[in-house]
Amino acid sequence: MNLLALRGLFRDALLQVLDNRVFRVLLVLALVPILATVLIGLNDESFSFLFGVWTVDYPDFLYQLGDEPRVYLVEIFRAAFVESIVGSVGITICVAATAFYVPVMLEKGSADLVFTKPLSRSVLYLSRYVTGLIFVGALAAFLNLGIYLGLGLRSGMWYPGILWSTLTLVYLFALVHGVTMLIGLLTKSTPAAMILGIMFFMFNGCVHNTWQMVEAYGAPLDQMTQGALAESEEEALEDEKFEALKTAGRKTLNAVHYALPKTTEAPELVVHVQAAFGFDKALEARSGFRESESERAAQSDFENVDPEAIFARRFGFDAEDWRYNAWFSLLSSLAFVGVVLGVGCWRLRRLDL
Amino acid sequence: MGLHKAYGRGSKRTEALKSLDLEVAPGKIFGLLGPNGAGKTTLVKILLGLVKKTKGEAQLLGQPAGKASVRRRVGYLPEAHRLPHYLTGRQMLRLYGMQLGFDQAWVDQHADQMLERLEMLHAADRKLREYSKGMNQRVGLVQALLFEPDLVFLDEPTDGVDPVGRSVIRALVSEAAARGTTVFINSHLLMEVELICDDIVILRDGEILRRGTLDELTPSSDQVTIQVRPDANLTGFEAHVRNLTTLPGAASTRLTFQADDDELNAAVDALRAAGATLVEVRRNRATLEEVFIELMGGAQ
Repeated sequence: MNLLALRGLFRDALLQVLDNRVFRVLLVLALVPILATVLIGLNDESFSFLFGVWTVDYPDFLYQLGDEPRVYLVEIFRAAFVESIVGSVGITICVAATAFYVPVMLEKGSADLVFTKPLSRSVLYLSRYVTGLIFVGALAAFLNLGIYLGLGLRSGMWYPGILWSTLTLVYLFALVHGVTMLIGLLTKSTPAAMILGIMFFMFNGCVHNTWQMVEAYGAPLDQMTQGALAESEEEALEDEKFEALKTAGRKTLNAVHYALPKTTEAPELVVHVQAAFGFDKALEARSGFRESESERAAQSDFENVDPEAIFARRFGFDAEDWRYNAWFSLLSSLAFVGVVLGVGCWRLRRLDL
Repeated sequence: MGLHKAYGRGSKRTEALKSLDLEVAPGKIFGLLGPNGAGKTTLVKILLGLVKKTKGEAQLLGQPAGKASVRRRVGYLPEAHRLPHYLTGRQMLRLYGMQLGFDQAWVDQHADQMLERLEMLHAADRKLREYSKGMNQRVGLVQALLFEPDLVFLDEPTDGVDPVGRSVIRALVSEAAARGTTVFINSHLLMEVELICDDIVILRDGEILRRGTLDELTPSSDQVTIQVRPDANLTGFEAHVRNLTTLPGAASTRLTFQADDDELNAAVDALRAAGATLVEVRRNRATLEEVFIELMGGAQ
């Protein structure tokens, strides 16, 4: 395996991505938010629409968060649009758009050419993984760089946090792309890889969100029900059964949550990585926003507690509880990806083509 | 040696190759023939490392088949190949070249000449998805032959190519063999095989049914055909030959009969003595296709 062959594979991946129609469509769609950052300026105290034709003062609550309302606006935009919408809908589209890589590679006539070159099957398989990362990386970089430049040129706000979102999106996709590829390898079917890949992404999100909810609501609920006494022997038996079921359910949920790649933790993880690299403005802004959320929550009952906010407060590279430690999130997710890719390589090596 | 391949298990088990013994000398053009399901593709795929053998030993260029170092020295044009449609012809050649250790400059320098001969240079910078079947076949052949392979496998190399293109492909294959490249040709176009192959193997049901040179597989018969001008006087000619059939025609009359060399000479003398003008004298030989059909029919 020489450098020339690797360069060839990389170039092949790049050309394959650039030729993809879905990629081009998404590239055009990415222009919409970029254009918005040009048309909507963020002044120190007001929005400026259409280059000053119309200005609107910021709402009061932004000033309660801190003395830089623009930063909060950008962080809200980033969390709501880049990480939530693009991170869910956009990544789902990308999972679908890249699902054909492995099935097409294994098609008769194509596999004969690909696998008779002096490259190992594992390298060729992993090259498809990299192709997927290039697909999402290029789109995310285009989107975030565009927004970054739009904000900088139009509003004079050079905010590197936006650029870091590229890492969030690539990391998010990297966690699920290996699964889509493995499904493609096992089924040799693009529709199967597409549908099951998206289902896995959704299931994964559901598991982690449920885990966060159980973490947030579980303890208060337990406390509420602990004091209640059974009125009869039968009821006590039923309570015992329910407790056993609840314990088993939680254990299963915990096990699945720990084993699966933690996609919902990706934005929080990257914000902490940013902070570790010296850009802590995003973390500060998000903490400030959460502080005010939690103040509001403290004034009402626990039902208003946001599980995501609770998780975010506990999460970090120095968190003492290993379940909230960013290292655990990162390493367990990467381990999952490593295992999935390893199984794919192992299977492909044994496959008659 | 003793190469064996079985697919499936239990009652679904199919034996694609049955202890096949085959050795091919370097620099030869080798024809691999057989009906569908004979095991030709399985054999080639085992040699290329695409399919794992069940038993036996397979070597290419003196090394175990399928090793990366061997694949570097092998070219392959699969049947119904699917080239990466998102690349242009030239980009595809550069990519395959880089995978085989040839840099872009080398590929550009050497590819044009071969593309030109196959009348593909004008389309080299077009996307492969825009190519016709014949164009795909031609550029597929270029990728198989360009990188100076010591061994090349061509599966239906002239499929979808016009007669002129076929002739160029035959020339390119012959030139490769002349340079010392061993060429495996797998084709159902037996006339093509007849024109080009030095050595031929006919497979059936995973076993070698017949192997030999073209002369060995299609020996001359004792049947002779002589064509004479239509105005020839053929009275009494039947007395000089055995099993004569006469087929009159506007341009010539065709006389077919059985004769050894002496009888043939006597027949020619008799015709000349009768004042006939000879147009063609030919000792008949079964075509490879006839031999193949006979072998397959015999098998049934």
